Amino acid sequence: MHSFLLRGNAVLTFALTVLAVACVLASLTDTLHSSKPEVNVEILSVDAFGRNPGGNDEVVLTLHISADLQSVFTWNTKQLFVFLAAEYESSKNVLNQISIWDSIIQSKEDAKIHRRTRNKYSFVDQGSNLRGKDFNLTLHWNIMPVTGAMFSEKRVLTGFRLPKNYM
Amino acid sequence: MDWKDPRLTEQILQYTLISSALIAIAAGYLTASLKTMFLVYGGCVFVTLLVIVPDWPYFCRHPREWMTPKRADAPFHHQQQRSSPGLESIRESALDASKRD
Repeated sequence: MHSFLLRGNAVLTFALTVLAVACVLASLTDTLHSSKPEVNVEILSVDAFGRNPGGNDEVVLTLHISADLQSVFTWNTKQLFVFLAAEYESSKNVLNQISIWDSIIQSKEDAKIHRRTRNKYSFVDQGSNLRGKDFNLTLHWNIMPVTGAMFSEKRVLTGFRLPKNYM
Repeated sequence: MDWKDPRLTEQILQYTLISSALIAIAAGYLTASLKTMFLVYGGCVFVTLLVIVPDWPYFCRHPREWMTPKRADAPFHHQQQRSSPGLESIRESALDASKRD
């Protein structure tokens, strides 16, 4: 420890190592956190239902998405990536999941969602299996931390059905 | 630069940085802000640099005595000069010998 540079080097390298350990400890505090989200999605209307030019079934819906995700935020949360997926079964696939809407929430204050909107992304089937189909709308959210691992949670809402005939 | 006690430096280094990290985590957790944690920790690292890097006198409390270098033809020790002829007289006699030749 006989020169400025040697001592400065020792301080800075040890400081960075300790900082890395501190970040791991900070991310571990997330396991102590419990969240109580409230989610509700309603289909207000089916605006269009038919075959698209590719020959597949397509639906256009107007949705009312309301969710309170404020309790999901911790001190170590950078943002939430929220998306709404329609899930159903068809003869071709055991499970079809289509993301029809998403949003990025970057602060706790913005975490109350009250959205009345058409589906952001096309709700298209592989084939024509959607007539009279029962499906779930599942709100997924990815919790992106400042340091540490990313987790994913969801809330499944069942009981939605598409019309029996094309409109 | 003077010789310094490395154990003292290492100890100050480790204890201050680890305790400042713990304080920073506690401060950040209580204010629910990771930014506070990084700022507190950064401030503590800066203070640690100020305490450790410059040449403070408390680093030199037990300096080791080094011998000061002396020229090869100078007398080695005060007593030696009196008791034995020493190198100087040998050198003189060698010079005399070469002058005679």
